[in-house]
Amino acid sequence: MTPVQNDEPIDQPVDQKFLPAVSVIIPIYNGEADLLICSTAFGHRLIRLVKLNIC
Amino acid sequence: MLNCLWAQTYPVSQVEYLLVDNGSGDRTPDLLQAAVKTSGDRGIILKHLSETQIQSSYAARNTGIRAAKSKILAFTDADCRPHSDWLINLVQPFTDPEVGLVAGEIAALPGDTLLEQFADRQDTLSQKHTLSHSFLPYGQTANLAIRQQALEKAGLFRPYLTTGGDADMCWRIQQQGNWKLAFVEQAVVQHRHRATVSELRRQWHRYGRSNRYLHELHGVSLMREPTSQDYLYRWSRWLLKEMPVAAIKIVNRKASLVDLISTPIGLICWQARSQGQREAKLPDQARQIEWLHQNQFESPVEAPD
Repeated sequence: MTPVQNDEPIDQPVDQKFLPAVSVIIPIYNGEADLLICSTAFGHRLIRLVKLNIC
Repeated sequence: MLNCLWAQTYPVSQVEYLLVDNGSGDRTPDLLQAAVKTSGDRGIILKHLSETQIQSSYAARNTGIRAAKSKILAFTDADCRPHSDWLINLVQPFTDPEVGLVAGEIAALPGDTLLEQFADRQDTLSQKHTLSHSFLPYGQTANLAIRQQALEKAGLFRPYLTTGGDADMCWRIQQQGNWKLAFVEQAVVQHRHRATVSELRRQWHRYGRSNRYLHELHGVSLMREPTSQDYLYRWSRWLLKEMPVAAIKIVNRKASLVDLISTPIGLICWQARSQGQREAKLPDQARQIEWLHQNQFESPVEAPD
């Protein structure tokens, strides 16, 4: 019996990504706006000052 | 930012997030602790570290590097918004063993003000400017990954430097270890542009300080300072030629207000950068380099004459 010919690869991942172990490092100073928005009642000005410090 | 980390498509078993608090005086430590727990509930490793000795983002990054368990170190900032496929795209060039550094792209968050639109048009934040630096290419730490092995010889960030540390680090790695720097345009983090003139001035003043520091550390050329003739020529040209042309185009809806203000804003940036460069002086302490291993010691970097 002749096997069926098929041009498509079998069980070959098309998009094999490289996935090494990674450490993501993020410095924070005085907090970030997202964190502070829920913690402060002083509003926009304080958040803007904090953002400047981070940059 | 936390939502962006949680949304990463990278396998959670292969990544740890190290958030290094650099002496925040508010409730940030408490909020970070809560984030650690929430992340844990999602199966994501997120650690809260502290750097309390030195007030500098580079010192905080060094604290993170020392605590890291992986051989690939990725950096971004707390005010950035990484796309969900940021990390998976950023690490791909490390399949090449000669690549020691990978920079991703920094795109602007949508902004409404004229200044934000101006900066967007100039691609102020894009890595394309730093990657084409006339001295050597470098990537900004807002979107950068480093192979830990590359730090063995080059050392860590200079912890007392307040700006320019990303260029300094990338250059030391390229010069001392012959590592390649790769760029991945698809590895995107978003960052907001400066929305007010004072913020914009502060940003360009810092670029100027960075120029001075990198000049003293690496001999990079200083930028030319604008003269009174430069100002006279630019302002005259703007008033007599550019502004009328832009105004007509705006009336005909062929240009926007950003076209009208480009020259004045450009001059403000140039002036602020020039002032920053002129006023800055590199403190001796800022020359110090920290090392990955405690038994290493600094080989002094020669300052240019």
